[in-house]
Amino acid sequence: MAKKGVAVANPPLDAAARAKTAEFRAIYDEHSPMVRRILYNICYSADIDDLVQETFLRIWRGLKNFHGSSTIRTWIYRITVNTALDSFRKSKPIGREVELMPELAGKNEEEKEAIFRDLVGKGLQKLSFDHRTALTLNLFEGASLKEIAEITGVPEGTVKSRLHFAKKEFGEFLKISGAPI
Amino acid sequence: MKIEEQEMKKLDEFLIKNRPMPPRPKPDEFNSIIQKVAKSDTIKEPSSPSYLWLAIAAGIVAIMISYPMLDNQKSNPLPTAKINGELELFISESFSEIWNEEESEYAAYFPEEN
Repeated sequence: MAKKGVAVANPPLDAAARAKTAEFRAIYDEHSPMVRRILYNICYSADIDDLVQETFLRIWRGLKNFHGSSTIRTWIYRITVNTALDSFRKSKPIGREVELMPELAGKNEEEKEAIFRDLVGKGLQKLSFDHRTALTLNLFEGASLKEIAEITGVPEGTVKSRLHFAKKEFGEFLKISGAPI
Repeated sequence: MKIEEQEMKKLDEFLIKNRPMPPRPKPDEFNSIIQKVAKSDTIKEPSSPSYLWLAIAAGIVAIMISYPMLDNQKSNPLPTAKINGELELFISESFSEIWNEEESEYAAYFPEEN
């Protein structure tokens, strides 16, 4: 018999636990790419694997309390954004210094693409947490204003304003960096 | 279309095309999550009802043991209280001595009032 308080590597699962694990597996398979992308775009962090695991741990714990008042996608968005926020609070603030884009001459398409992606990643980090969340969810994940309002707990008008200022700030950042837009 | 709107559209296209892509997950990521889930569920066990009741019972016993001690303290005051009591007695005795002395002096000056 296993001692209490000691983690068991492969505990025998009863039917309910097996069903819950199968349901969880389905959620993971469907939503983990989205969770990973959102966390990466908001946190741009090296410990992205840890953040994904933390998010799914929270999803597991919250499953018993999820009664479908919102869609599962919105619910997972919310958990993901909250995990990102916790990570953001622990992280060191990013400097406001200008990022100059490396010289593009002599670079092939793949190299140019990598430079642009890195620039966009760095540009996102220059935005405030609220602005980058709104931009990531709307532009990269296709979430509607209503959905973002529900996830972040602010009115739709605020989301719209955050998006506007995020894009404006990003545009200025790209111009200063020398990006070809 | 306004110039600003056109610029915004170009910006959107640039950002969508060049959005940062996260590194691929490890192949055993789901298993790592399940292990973490199992570990956190095991760690949470002490807060199960049996442990909760045990904690409540221990609290009640602790109160039952400490209550008579508190009651005992009321009937047998702490040394500080005793010191305070002695100090009060000393002060009242000193004052009554001074008062008696003053009264006798007063009586010496105004004997007719006595």
